[in-house]
Amino acid sequence: MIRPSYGRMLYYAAVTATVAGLTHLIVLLAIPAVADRDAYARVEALGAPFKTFALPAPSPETRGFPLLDPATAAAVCRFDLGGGPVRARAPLGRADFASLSFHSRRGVAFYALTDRAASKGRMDALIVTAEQLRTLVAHDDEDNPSDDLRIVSPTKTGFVMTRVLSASADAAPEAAEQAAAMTCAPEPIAEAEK
Amino acid sequence: MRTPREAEAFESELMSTLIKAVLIATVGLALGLWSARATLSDRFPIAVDKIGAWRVEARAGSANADPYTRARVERAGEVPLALGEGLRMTTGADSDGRALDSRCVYKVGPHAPPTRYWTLELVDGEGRPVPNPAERYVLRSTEILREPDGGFSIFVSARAHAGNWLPIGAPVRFGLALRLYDPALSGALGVDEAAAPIVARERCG
Repeated sequence: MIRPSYGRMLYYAAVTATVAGLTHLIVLLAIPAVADRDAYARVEALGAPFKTFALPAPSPETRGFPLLDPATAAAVCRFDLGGGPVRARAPLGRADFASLSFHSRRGVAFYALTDRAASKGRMDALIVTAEQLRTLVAHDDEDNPSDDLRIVSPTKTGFVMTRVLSASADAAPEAAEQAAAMTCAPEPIAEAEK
Repeated sequence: MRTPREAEAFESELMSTLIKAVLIATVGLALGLWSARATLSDRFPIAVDKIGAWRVEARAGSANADPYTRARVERAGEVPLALGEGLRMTTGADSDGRALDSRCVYKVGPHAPPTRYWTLELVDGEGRPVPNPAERYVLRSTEILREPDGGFSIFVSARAHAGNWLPIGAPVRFGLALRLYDPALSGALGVDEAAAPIVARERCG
């Protein structure tokens, strides 16, 4: 029997660790690609883009998005920037707190605004690609600048979510109504120019 | 030409190399899979921010979240609160680090981090509300009773409790989720360390 040298053992350990490290990394980076119940997939399963879907109030029975706050009413709208920029709007109601968050195809939030940033009684933003933003800026009238809030989406598709906090359980239906009033719709550049 | 003896030695060395390679690949793969799983679950969490017993989900809501956070969020399929919208804090343990137990009475308070609104919810292991007959899953900062100085006590227990009561409806493993809406962001984690509510175990049994 040959006694294995320490150097050899160390070498085997290093190779094993490298394989383990690579596996770890691949699994980690592959999860987003193979996760079929990620947030975007769940939104996609609800239906067509540019339609608003009010999410059922979280309860032990509802099998919707996990970790949604039962004190908030939520609605989602899926967008696709292929046909031009997309306008997202959420009117304010009597709710104490409301927010509008913008999520990429990967689910991460690339922007959010709250009712504090609302003007004319609503939260309003134009979702654009980097290229569409350049076109819009090129068309901007210097003397009469657009007061649009333009948000660049890192991916061509994604979704908008609104959350409306109800001050008490009794106010939940009203909050749900406010959340469901959110819209997202394509706004071709020719129109956005005006 | 090799002698038969040399050929045999060569073959046995080849076999032993092959066995070693298979062994190394198997152990390496197993270790890699196990460690990836462990870091994404709660066993050896990586890239998780904590304030006392509270886990602060400050990283999940930003576009440049780290791969661990992103993998966790995508696996859960949740839509995290975005930075600038809100912040979620969760805990599965009391302030002394003991796992929350449905047979005990807990007192949560007296303060929450400065924020416009907050809510406190009882969640199960999957992040869903724990069923209870009263269908009371959450308490809002707008609907609780407070002390004259603005402090509050929320009692988390299976049996009805005077004051602000959040029922533990079923004998399951549960956690507390504190959501801050429009928080006054401060510090690296977004919230002040001293401002996290204390989860005190009152009594058990």
